[in-house]
Amino acid sequence: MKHKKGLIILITIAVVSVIFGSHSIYKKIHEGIHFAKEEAEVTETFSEDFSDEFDEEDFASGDKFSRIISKSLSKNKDSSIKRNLKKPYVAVIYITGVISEENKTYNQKWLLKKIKNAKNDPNNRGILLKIDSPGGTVYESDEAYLSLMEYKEATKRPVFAYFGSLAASGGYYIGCSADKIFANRNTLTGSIGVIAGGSLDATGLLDKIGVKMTTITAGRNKNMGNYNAPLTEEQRAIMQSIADEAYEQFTGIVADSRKMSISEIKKLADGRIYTAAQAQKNGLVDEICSFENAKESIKKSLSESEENSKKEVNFIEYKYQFEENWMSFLYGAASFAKNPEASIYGLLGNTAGKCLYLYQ
Amino acid sequence: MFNRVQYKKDALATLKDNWNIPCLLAIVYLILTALSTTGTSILCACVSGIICVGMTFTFMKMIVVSHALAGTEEAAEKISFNTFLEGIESRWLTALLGSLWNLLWVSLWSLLFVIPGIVKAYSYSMMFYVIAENPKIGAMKAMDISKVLTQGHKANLFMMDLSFLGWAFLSMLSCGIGFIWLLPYMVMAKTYAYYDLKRMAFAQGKLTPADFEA
Repeated sequence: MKHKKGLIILITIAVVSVIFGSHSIYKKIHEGIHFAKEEAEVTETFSEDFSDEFDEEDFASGDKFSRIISKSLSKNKDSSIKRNLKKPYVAVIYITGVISEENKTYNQKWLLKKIKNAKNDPNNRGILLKIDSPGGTVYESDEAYLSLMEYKEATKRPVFAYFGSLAASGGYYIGCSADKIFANRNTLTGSIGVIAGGSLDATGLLDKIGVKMTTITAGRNKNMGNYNAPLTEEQRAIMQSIADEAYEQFTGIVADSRKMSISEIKKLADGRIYTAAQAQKNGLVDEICSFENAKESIKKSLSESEENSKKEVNFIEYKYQFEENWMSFLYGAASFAKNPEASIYGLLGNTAGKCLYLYQ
Repeated sequence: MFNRVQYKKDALATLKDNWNIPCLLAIVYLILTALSTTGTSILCACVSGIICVGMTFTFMKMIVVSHALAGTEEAAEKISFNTFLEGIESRWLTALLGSLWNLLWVSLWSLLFVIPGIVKAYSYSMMFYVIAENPKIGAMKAMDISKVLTQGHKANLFMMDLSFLGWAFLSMLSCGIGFIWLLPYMVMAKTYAYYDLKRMAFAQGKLTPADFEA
């Protein structure tokens, strides 16, 4: 042989690719079997829970492909949690960020779904809300509150709330569904009040720079709140009436929840925020403790009831995770280019023109 | 001018009565790339890069032999599997680095969706022919030369690859056995294309023979 070195190199390449090739084929076959096994196990144990877990409407906004992807992802993610569902448990539901229909940290549909799941699950013993929110829209806050009240009524199970760093306004509103409210000692809460909207009157500026803008409307108050017209007294009264009504609703709910009279609540509810200690003194919060202690005390109170005396109650956490893959990142960039305003307020979700329970 | 019909004719003429070694090399290439594809893509790129360089080296020798005058020293040279081994022996490291360098840049360009990746893959496609022809050249320099060579001819190269599509379909129908003959044909035609591109680059003054020295 003339070119021994060349032959050696060729043989080395061949050996390496044979090793890698056979290894990956072996791995693929092995994984395939492994997967099949796992799947069977999961469906066998929790067949009842999966039935309403993924409704069509849940992913209606995404296209079919991403729906399939996210379904498979969430199945993988949840499977470890699902194993514990046979034991009695308390669902810890995180309410984080601005309450609106949908944004990066909060999703109304997801929240309602989790409450519904807890309601339908016989092993569920209660809900613990971990609230860390400055509030949000009136509509969504009330919807979440009502669905929690419905849960309580239908199942006779308790709801607890634990306030994180901020549980103001709409966050407190949802917290009012709880039988007992715990708070961290550094929580800021309160801010019971309503923002019905704002008015920006830019007529002076437009005059100064010589821009004349006219909106053609029919109906005296149709141009209300637009920047090219001053706010009239009548319009102010209209907005005020909306704010007042939402305020009455808020104070009524707080009074119901805290077992206080409306006049007492109205004294507290001037829109200010309270520290945890102040809130406890005023009766807006029941107990100041750490999250772990709150869990302990919930565990204790639940195991006192005779039904659960034998079995230990555990906690299962549900956190909303905004699914961001590179495709949604591209879509986001595209929508930002088209409409930058919408993406800047993306954190707030679509709250424009809505009544807010929001601490700013 | 770029004349793909001529290159294909020349390729068939060179391969005529000399199919044994090219087919053997094609079998080696197909088996090894098929095995390494199931592993990582990096491994696959390296394996196919090295064998492609060895194969091109052999084919270039074949072209030289077929065009040499009868009775000269070059015409007497026998093409065998040893020629392929010789090509690998002297160029494997450059080929390895070249394929990694190629893979890196093509994948970086592919990040801008698929089309730039394809364009750049054609732009870099001549670097293995440069490496096969010049044993002492570096991988990065080979890529630079390839970029100059393919200036204005990337679409032509693409069309040439497309013109093999019918044969490729036929080969697939035969469970891939047809590729044993198709692959040497394609590589040989591309080698002729490389020679012609080089000639054109010299004629236009884009490159000089000094550029090919290390």
